[in-house]
Amino acid sequence: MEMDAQDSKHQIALLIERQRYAQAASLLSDTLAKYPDDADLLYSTALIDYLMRRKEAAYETLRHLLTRTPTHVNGRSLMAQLHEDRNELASAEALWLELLKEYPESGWLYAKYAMLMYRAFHIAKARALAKEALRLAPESEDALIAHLLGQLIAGDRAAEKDSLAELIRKHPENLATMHMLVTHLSQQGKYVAAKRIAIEILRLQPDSREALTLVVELEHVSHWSMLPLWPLNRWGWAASGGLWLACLIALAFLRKQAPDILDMATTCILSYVAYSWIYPPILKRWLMRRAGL
Amino acid sequence: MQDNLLVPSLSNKRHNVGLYSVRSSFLVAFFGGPIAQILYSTLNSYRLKRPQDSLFYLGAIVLSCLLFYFQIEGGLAVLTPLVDGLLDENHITRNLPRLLALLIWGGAYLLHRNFHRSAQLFNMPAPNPWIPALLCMGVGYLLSTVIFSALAKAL
Repeated sequence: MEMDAQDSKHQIALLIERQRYAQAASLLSDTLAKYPDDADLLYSTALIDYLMRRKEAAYETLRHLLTRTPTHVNGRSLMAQLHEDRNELASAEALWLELLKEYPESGWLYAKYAMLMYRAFHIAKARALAKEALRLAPESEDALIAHLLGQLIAGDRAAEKDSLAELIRKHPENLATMHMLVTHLSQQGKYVAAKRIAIEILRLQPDSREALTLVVELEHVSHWSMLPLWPLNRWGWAASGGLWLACLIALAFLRKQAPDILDMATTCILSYVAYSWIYPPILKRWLMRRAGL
Repeated sequence: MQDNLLVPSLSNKRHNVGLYSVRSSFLVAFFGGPIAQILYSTLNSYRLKRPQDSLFYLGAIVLSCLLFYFQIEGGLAVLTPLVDGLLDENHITRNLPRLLALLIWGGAYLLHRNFHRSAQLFNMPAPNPWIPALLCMGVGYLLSTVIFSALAKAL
């Protein structure tokens, strides 16, 4: 009987790893019927619900699991994640700290806690946690990503490049690595290159709405008709402020020096401003519809 | 060091710190002027619990008052040598409050830059800016009028 349960658990874990959630759920329900109180099976049920975005069901299952087995490590980790998704950050923190006190050498837990601190705007603490995560687990993808995020947030370009190179070297085919690469390239204004990586992500996850949305958004900013808006996309509202100042000086110059072409210059500037406000949302809507979103 | 990191940092209530977006802040500065921008930026500093930002806002208030003072006293003519013969100074001086407001916006953004980047990376939704933005613009307009009138009477 025990072998049967262990075999089933192993198969369920493999199916989950291969994202075959429906099959895993079917096998799980058969096994749970025989062993309804098995903590690992309950955790797998919650995990499948979570991965299939049935978060309320996952939450209820985890509550039931942790009432019966309050020390279940994976259960508490997933519950912490659910708390974060429900914006209950203090509750999430309490769980991560509880786990860290039990497993103080776990780089993965430090990385998860760092991500929570980034979300809660405790940036300095998050960076320190990420550094500790990397010290404890230098090969861990989560630790590398937590560390890299700190550098992206701080705008430390040189360190960001080195950390990204290390992440690619150690985890070249992981989705999370590809997402970080897309983020890095987008921040540099290299939208075409970022789009290529996003397309690869979509190939690996063809059913993912998020991956498709990412590709469409990058196609939007890299579209040929958006080229005149590249500075505004690259530097955001600072570019808008700079553009306004340049126009202010240009118009003041023309008023004094060449008043007869002032009207034409004003029309050009207003046309560019109108184009920058009206055209991008229209293009985005069209691209989204074309992609079926 | 490790022990310091394992001290809880969050209070036990639903986390509701979202930052008002850079876009809304820019628009408040552009259309509302310097006082409105100061008020709107303090909302983010309050949400982030950063009392140290008050030094920046004090400096911004002083600069705004100086701008009003120069507008009253005609002291903006000091700019004339810089623009003399080259630019239409009326066009420039009319837009100085907006320029100051955008500079204050830029300063506030630099103060909160890391938090805005974190919010963007984690796709954190920004709170609805309409009511606070309109309130700040309304109160900013009133305060500007009061300060301007007070300075005009005093000088």
